[in-house]
Amino acid sequence: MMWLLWAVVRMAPQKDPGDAADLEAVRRMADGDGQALALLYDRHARVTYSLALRILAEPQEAEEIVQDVFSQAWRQAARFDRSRGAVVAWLLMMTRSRAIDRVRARRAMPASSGDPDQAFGLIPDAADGPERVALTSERAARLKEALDTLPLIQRVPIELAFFEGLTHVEVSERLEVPLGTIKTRIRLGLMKMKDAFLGGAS
Amino acid sequence: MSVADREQLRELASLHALGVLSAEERAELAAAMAADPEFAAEVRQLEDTAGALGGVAAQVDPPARLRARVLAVAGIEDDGKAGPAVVSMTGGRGTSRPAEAAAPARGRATALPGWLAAAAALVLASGLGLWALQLRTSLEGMNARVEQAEARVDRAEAEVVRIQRTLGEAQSQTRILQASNAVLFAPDTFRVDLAGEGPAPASKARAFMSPHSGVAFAANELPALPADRVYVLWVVPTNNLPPVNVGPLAPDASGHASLFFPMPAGLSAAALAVTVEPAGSVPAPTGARVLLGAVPASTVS
Repeated sequence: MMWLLWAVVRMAPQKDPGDAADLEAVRRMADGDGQALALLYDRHARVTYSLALRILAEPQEAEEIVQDVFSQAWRQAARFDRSRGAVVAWLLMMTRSRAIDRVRARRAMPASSGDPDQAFGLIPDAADGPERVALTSERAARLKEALDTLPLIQRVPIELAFFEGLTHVEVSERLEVPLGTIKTRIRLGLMKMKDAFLGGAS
Repeated sequence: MSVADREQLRELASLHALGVLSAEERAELAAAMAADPEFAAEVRQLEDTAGALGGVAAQVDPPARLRARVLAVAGIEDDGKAGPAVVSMTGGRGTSRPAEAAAPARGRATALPGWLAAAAALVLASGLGLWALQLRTSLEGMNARVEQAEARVDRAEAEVVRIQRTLGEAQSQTRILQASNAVLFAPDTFRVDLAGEGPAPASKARAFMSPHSGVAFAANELPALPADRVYVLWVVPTNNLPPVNVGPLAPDASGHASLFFPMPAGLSAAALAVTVEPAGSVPAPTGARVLLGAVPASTVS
């Protein structure tokens, strides 16, 4: 049944003009155009900085993360694969991975499994992969509303995993809830958020 | 693929999207995606959804100096002409913007204290917000456990009270039985038979009396009484002294009643009698007599 629903709401290929501007900036960055980096920074410095600050709660460290992320974007612009997602999602993924690693190092926990350099390369796409979902402000607003209205028992594990970088095992221990239950709650919560994120976009 | 298998794969996909899968689990997920393009598409959507979570944090402008540091990477200088930022991806509640953010971007560099205040507010809002969520979840669980524990304590207390009451009754019964037994086997015990009369001609009773050990009394076939009436047992002394009330009788449904009482000190009994009296203690018999039995003359001192 869920597959039928999924098929109904499946996204049309993205036509987000903002992402097109980002792609153009990344292409120019790959050609060594520093002004393109300035453009990308001006468009997304706030969202990346806000995420880093949310995770680290230290303005100085958040600045360092943002600097690292845009430096990496500058270096790896030529390797950016547009089929693997929106540019802003790429920036956010790198931001989260780096910030989470700092948080875990601060707590003397092992580094997270995600490698920021491979954030979009961990699992290969099928030959004809689907179009990625553009991250528009409208979708982000729906996502935030969905997150805000999730039952706490689903929301807290998701936030602990995403914003504190806890593994599902660590979430289970932190909340003193069986691992299987935590997995189920994360799945149910994220599926609801996915439906909200995709909803109304067809 | 069974529904359970599908749900398990979606769990893997959700955990992958949040970036918390182990290498082994990731390999399992990759195999499932390779075998099922439709599932692979759903995994990508979950990735995009979780990736977008990064945009729901409360929005705060970075300090202006950061732009120069970033642009230095590309070997260009910050001209101070910052372009427009992408419209806030969240907006609404939880969004925290520094005071100068509403002004043109060029003016941002002069307003560091405001930025610091906003950053501090964000730190508080995000940090405390997550902790509040965790605490609320923990509290909900703890409250439920406390309520369950309180309910168990209430039940246990009620059970203790019931057991204490039962134990008290049993102890009382035991004392009566022991006392009655002592009466039956006392060397000075004698028997008094009581015959029904008046409104209860079929009633009969028997008492074993020991001047030292007390009196064990049992009556049968006592008629039921109105609620405001009780049977009272009297010891009728010798020498024409007034009868002594030794207690009410409480017949059961079959009309049986028993009573043990110590012999009143210094009293020489001539007879035992049962009368019907108003409920409550009465100093002297006033109602109909239903049982009467004389103490054998040879035992009267």
